[in-house]
Amino acid sequence: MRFTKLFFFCLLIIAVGCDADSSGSNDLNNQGTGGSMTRFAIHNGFMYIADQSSITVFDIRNDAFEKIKVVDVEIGLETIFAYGEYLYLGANSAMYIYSIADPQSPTFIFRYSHIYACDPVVVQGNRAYVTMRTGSACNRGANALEIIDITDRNNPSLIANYPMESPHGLGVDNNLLFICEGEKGLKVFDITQEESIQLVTHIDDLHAYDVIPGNEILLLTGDDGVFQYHYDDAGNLSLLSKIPVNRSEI
Amino acid sequence: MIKQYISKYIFPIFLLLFSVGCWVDEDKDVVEGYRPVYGTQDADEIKLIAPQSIRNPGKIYVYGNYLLVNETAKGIHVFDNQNPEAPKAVGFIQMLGNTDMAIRNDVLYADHMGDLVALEIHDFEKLTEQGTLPLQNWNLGLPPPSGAYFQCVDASKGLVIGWEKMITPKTDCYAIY
Repeated sequence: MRFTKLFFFCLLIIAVGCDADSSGSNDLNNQGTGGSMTRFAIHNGFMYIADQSSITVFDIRNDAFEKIKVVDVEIGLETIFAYGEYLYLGANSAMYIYSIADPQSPTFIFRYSHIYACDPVVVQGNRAYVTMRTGSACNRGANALEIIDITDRNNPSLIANYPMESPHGLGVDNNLLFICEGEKGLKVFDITQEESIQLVTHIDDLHAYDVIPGNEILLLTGDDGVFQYHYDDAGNLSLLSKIPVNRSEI
Repeated sequence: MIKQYISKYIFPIFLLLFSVGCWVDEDKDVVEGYRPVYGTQDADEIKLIAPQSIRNPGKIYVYGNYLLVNETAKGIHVFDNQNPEAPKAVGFIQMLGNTDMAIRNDVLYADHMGDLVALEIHDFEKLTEQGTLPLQNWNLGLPPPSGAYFQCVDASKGLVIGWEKMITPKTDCYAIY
C-alpha cells in the first residue's frame, strides 16, 4: 500500500518535471529557433501563424503542407511563442494563452489584459516575461517589463513590474533575461530574485531590436547589425562577431 | 476653441486608430519626407542569389549551424554560423515582402507577397518550392519611417520595398506608430 502511494507520488513528480522541461518543441533537432518578435511558431509538426487578428494552423507533418484552421483572436496581434502545450500571443492590448493540447485546434485559455500591454512575450517554466513600450500603436503607458506567474494558466498573476526605457524583443535563458531597449541598447538581468531582478550588463552603444539566447551564445539584431556574444551564468558578455549593416537607404 | 479641441483630442485618437494615418499640414506647402520605392515585377520571383549586404535587418532565425537574417520586405540573408566568431555569408533569398521565417526538416516556411511558401533548402545550394498557401490579414510591404511625412502609397504600383528621402507636397501622408 505504502509502495503504491510512493509510486504515484513519483509519477506525479515525473509528470510535473516533464511539464517544466518541455521547452516548446519536442523535435528541437530538426527545427530552428526564432526571436521573440516572430509571428511564426512550430510545434509537433504544426505551424501557427499569428497575423493581425487571428491564428492560422498549418499541417506541416512529413510532406504535408495544408492550411487546416483559422482561429479568430482580436485585432492587434504582434507575436507568438509556443511553449509546452500552449501558445502565448503578444498583442497591443493583452497577452493571450491558447492551449494546443489538440494541436490542430488552438483553444482559448486566458486573456491577460493590461492597459499598457503591448509587444512580445517569452516563457520559461511557469513564468511569462512581457515587455511593453510607448511609441508604438499601443502608446498609452509606461515602458516596462512584467513577470507573470502562469502556473495556473487559467488565472495568471503579476509577480513584478519593472520600468524599462524602450523595450522591444527579449529572451530568457535560465537565470538570465536579455532585453532589447532599442536605441538604449541591450540589458542583461539576473532574474534569480524575481521581485528584485538585478541589472548585470548594459551595452548602450548599439540599437537592439531582438535576441535569441542559447548555448551560451546570444544573437542580437538591430539597426547597427547582427551581433553575437558569448555569455556566462553571471551575465557577462563578450563580443564574438558583428555582421555590419550598410545603410545607404532605409 | 474647436480647433484646440481637434488638435488635442481628435488628432491623437485619429492617429491611434489608424497607426498610419494621413494628415494635411496646413502651414507649409512642402515638407521633408519619404517617397515609396516599389518592387518591380521581375523582383517577385523567389530565388537564391549571391550574398548581399544587410541594409535594413529584421527578424533573425537559427537553424542548426545556419543563421538567417530577414532583410525587411526584401528577403533573407543566409549565413553559415558554424563559427560564431566568423559567420560566413552563404547567399541571399530574394523574397519580396518577407518579414517572417521558420525551418523544420530542411523546409523553410516564409511569407512572400502575402503568401506562405514552403521551400526545401538543400543546404542553401538551391531551393525547391513545395507549395504556396495564402495568408490572411497579413501586413504587406515596408512601413514608412515613423514620425515623418510620406508620399501616400499607390498599391497598384506594386509592393513598397524601401523609402527614399524627398521633399514632399503638403497633401501627403503622415506615419506614427
